[in-house]
Amino acid sequence: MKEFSNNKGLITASAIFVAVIIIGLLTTRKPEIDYRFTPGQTIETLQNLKYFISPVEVAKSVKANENQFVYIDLRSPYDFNKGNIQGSVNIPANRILEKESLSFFEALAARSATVVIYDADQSLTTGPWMLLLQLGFNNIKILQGGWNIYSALNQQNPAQYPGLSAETPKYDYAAIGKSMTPETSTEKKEEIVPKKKVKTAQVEGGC
Amino acid sequence: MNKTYIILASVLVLLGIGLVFLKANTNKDELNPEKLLTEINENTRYISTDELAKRIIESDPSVQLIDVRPAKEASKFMLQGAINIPLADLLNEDSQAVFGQDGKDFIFYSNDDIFANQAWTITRRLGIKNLHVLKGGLNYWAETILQPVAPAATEPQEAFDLYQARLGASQFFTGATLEVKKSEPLEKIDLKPKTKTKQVEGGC
Repeated sequence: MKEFSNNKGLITASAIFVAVIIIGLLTTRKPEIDYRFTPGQTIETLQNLKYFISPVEVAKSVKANENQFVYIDLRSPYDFNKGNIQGSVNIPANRILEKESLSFFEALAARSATVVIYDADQSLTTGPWMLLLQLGFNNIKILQGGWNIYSALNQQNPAQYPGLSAETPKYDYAAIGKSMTPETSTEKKEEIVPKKKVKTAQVEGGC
Repeated sequence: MNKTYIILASVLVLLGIGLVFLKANTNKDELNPEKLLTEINENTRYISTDELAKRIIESDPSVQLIDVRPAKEASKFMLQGAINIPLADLLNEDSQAVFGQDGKDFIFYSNDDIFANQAWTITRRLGIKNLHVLKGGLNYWAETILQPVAPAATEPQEAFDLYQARLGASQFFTGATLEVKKSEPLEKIDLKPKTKTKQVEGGC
């Protein structure tokens, strides 16, 4: 008899145990958007990926109507409406993770289209681009210099744009900055010549 | 009797095995893409060259500069107090130890701010806090701090104040007295012996 009741307790206990695990599994929310690249994989991809595209190349392609690239404008709709690369789609940077945007990116990746994204400048573009890369979209390129440089180009006759340098040193820092040791007190102290006060004679009055 | 035990035991063992194959949540601190995007668009990670210069000059102990350029470039020149962690080595154990320090502001910089931003995105995703990016990178550093350009005469007073501050910083970082207006040498003053002049004394 005693054994039987023990057995019953065991069954209830294990039933509760199983129930807890199942409830736990059901309630852990699955994230809707997941990274496809681990940080390590992302860094590896960065080393081998050619992710910059020059505005000159883009301007030429637009002029020739090649439809070679899909352009995505990350700026606000207001800026987008003032001017954009011909044929580009506006997805403001804060909305790239919305369902519609993601499915658009998915569709582009599925037909292995080369996407060119741009914001006002390239450093604004880097953040969203990095995020998309980690989500697995490695078919996206950054427009060098962004809209600011592109819009300054002569669209009819795009020539090499000077002064575009992503991550190339513009100066020889070592030469300018010398070594960065602050203790360089080799300044000569100026000799101080004491000025003697010359007493001028004062008229003293007598009584 | 025995049967029940066996069934119960096998159910539990199966569940246990199932748990093993569940995707491990490797990093609890990891930021999800939505949060990361919010932080990317906030742009609060940037620190200006002027602020950085000020903090270095004041030898602010919380500043930890991280040079993310390739070792070859970094060996030629690094900002004061910086350590070199090339992008490829960002996830090394040594680098992780750097980020483990408490009470530090980690400031990434590169020639521009592209590499620095890349490093920021990856480390921020890992949940590391107090990460910053030097706005404009070393190129802008050279333009504003090492070789400040004088404002045009029509610019407001603030521009001149800023320029003065940058000139001071420039002297600090280049260790030179360059660009400073040469003060004219003091005129030599002949030392004249005191000649007592007779003073008119009044009598009573």
